[in-house]
Amino acid sequence: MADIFVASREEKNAPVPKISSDKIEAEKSTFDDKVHLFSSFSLNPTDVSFENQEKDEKILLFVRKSKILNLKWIGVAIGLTVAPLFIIFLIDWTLLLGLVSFKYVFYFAALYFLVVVAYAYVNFITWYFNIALITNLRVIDVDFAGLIYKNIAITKLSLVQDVSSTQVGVVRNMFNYGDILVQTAGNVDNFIFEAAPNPEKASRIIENLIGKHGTV
Amino acid sequence: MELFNFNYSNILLFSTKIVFIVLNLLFLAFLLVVYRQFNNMNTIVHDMQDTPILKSTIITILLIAISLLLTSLVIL
Repeated sequence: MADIFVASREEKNAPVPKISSDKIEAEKSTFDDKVHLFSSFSLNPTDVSFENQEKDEKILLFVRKSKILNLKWIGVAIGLTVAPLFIIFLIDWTLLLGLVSFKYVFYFAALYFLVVVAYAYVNFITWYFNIALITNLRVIDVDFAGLIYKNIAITKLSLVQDVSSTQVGVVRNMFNYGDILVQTAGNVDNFIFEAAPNPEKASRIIENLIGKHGTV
Repeated sequence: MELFNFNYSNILLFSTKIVFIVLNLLFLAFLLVVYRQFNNMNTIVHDMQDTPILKSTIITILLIAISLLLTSLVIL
């Protein structure tokens, strides 16, 4: 019987094309799954856990406010750090040291810089602990502001009815962050994840999840 | 007449020292609140990698504040 197609010897010996591991990683996700100190958006984070997390509960999406929002307090902290350098040139040191001894000035400077460091730290942890978590079972919104305000809102995914995202303004569009509104059923308050990075992607993920639960 | 021979520079230095110590104590109390809030929030949402960094930072700030307070008691 005549062969319809016979591969040439060169084709038989040709190596099978392999996709590099970098390519696979790139296709898997554009975001890393490791949450580091400055992460604001992470899919399937591995190192994060939360209070009352159930055994079969897995965090799917981890969102903080956009990193860009930190620029304000970073600018203030840098300004407060640099300001004394200008004051050094403006002050009449002979007059000042005639009034108080150098150790007082040194002590005040040390206290001042420590206050600046504390200011930066407090602002950082305020941003750091403002977290929204989407798990395979629940939506969790942790609000933390000014050290005295703390609000933790939790709802089941089955109670989520709709998700929408808004991006208003040039800066928000430029840096790709916006608000995500998660509407819930019944008496439960709606969730607003303010200034979340990649709001469209995040809302799409939540949409897919609530679709699985069949509430929409 | 001795009433009018008051050494005003000593009073100024003494009041400065008191102000510094009070400021430092208030700052220390504020840092303790920060530390407590950090621990509270860390139990709610826990990150294995970041916790040691942030905790050691606040403890360092606290220790520096305590050492500044002790310094103010001794040298000022």
